[in-house]
Amino acid sequence: MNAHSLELRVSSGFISMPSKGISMITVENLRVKLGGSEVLKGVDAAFRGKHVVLGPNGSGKTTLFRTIAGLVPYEGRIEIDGHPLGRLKGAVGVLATNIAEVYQLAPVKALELLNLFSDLSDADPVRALALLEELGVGEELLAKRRLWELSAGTRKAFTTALALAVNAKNVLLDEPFEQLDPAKKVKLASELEKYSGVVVMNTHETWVLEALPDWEVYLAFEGRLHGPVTAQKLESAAIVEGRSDGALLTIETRAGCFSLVESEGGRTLTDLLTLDRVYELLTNISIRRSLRGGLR
Amino acid sequence: MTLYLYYKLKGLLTDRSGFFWGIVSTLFWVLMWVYVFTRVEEPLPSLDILEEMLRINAALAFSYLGALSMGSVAVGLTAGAIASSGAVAFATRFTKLTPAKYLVEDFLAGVAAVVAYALVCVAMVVAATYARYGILVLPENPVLLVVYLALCGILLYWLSRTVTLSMLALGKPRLPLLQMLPLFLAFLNYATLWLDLGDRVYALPLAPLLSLIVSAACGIEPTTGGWLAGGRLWENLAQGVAPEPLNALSVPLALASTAAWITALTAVSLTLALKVKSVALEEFAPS
Repeated sequence: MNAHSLELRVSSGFISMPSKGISMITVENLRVKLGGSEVLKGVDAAFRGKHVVLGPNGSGKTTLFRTIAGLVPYEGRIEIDGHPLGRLKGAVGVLATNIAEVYQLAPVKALELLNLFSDLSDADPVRALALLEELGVGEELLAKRRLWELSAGTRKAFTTALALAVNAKNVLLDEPFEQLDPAKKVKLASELEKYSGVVVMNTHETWVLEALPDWEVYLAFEGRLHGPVTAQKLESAAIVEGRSDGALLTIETRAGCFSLVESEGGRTLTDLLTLDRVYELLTNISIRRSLRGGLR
Repeated sequence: MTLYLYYKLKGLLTDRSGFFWGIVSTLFWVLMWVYVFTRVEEPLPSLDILEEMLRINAALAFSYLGALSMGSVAVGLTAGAIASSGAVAFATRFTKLTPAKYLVEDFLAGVAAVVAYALVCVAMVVAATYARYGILVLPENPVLLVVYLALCGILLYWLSRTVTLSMLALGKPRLPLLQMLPLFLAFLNYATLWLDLGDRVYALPLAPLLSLIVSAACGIEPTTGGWLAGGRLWENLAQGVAPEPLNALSVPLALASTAAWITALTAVSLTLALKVKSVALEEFAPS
């Protein structure tokens, strides 16, 4: 089924989606508490086109995606293609994701899950298998093992291929490059570039700024999103301690404040390889400053 | 209908833990029943009396060992429903599996799995009895037997669903004792082999149905329990005396009791479902 000629069924009845309707996901003042602590602290974002949510581990990236997918109770507002998340029922082709728990619908082999979701979501199983083949996952393996019996990397490739094969108007990809070798990362990045709908992916790896220069990037830190800024601008931006006039972004963290400024030279996000190292950098700066203070 | 019904049922029938608890552990109990607990004193009675004794013996096994098997499967249904709560939340929003379709297909798959495992138990009892005595003890009224097993399946499905949703609503997805409730219920009913509850049997879920299963499988009058109390059943049978139930079970009351339990559990489940909305509430478990 063509993702752009779908019928969206909501609780009040059937609403025909406009054939060239706007695809987008918007979140407003999104708050999520898990296990007593606030994981998302008032997130505002509009995802239209191609987006990366770039942040260190524990910044709330995956929780944000799980919340948009309807897996976590929340406060605030989530709309997908203009419809509140709470009213969506049986909305085939509106949202797909590679979050593994979404695929634990029945305890059957991975290949059978692929057939099941192809039936439920009008996904193209041939496309999914072709993409999996490119990512180095053979049909024989999927016929033998259940989802949770696959290695973490294979499981991620499987759910990512299935999410893309749905050809949904909006796709959420949680760490899609995790545990892929460089050649396969390039192949997957090229698939994402070609995808016609909204793609929002999250990662902590900063090489994507170089690989996907036209994508819009939100930086995720400690339950908040900052941005968006194009990947191209962020890729060359230097990290400066504290606040800076004219900065692309200024971010407050537990370890200190830093700004990203357009300039020649200085340490960039891509130099860090992963955003987890921002904390290391800020902590080092803080220690150096303390030492200097101590010597005086 | 979607492919969910087929794959859910396949998953329940091929799942390793389901296979262990529904088949392997049941086989153990069947072998214990036929080879250890069944004692026909030497000299053996005449063939027609022996056949009658074994038919009643097998019917009790179909029912009460079947209940243990079905209880185990119901525990598996609870665990499976908790594990798939996130997937269900997503699927009902963004796939063809609408909440109504999910409810119907999951119910059909769950009940079919419970009945399938119970029928495997029936086959194991027939095979084990034949292996020991060379006598084939097939159910006397197989259609009625399957109907009563299906009613057991429906009751246990809704009990399992109530337990699942209660755990999710409490925000405590790991409460092993609560999760095992269907199996505890099966063991409680197992005790009615020796204990006659009298009219109180109508208040115990499953118990009246188990008595009806015995009746459908061997043709004797259903009782309110105490089949094996004091060894009277075997003494009478060995002397060729038809068993006289101490307290006869009323079939209409038994069916009304079952219907009431099914209705109550369904109502509680649906109310809880509206409360938790299938969201994976394990996130709220105290850390």
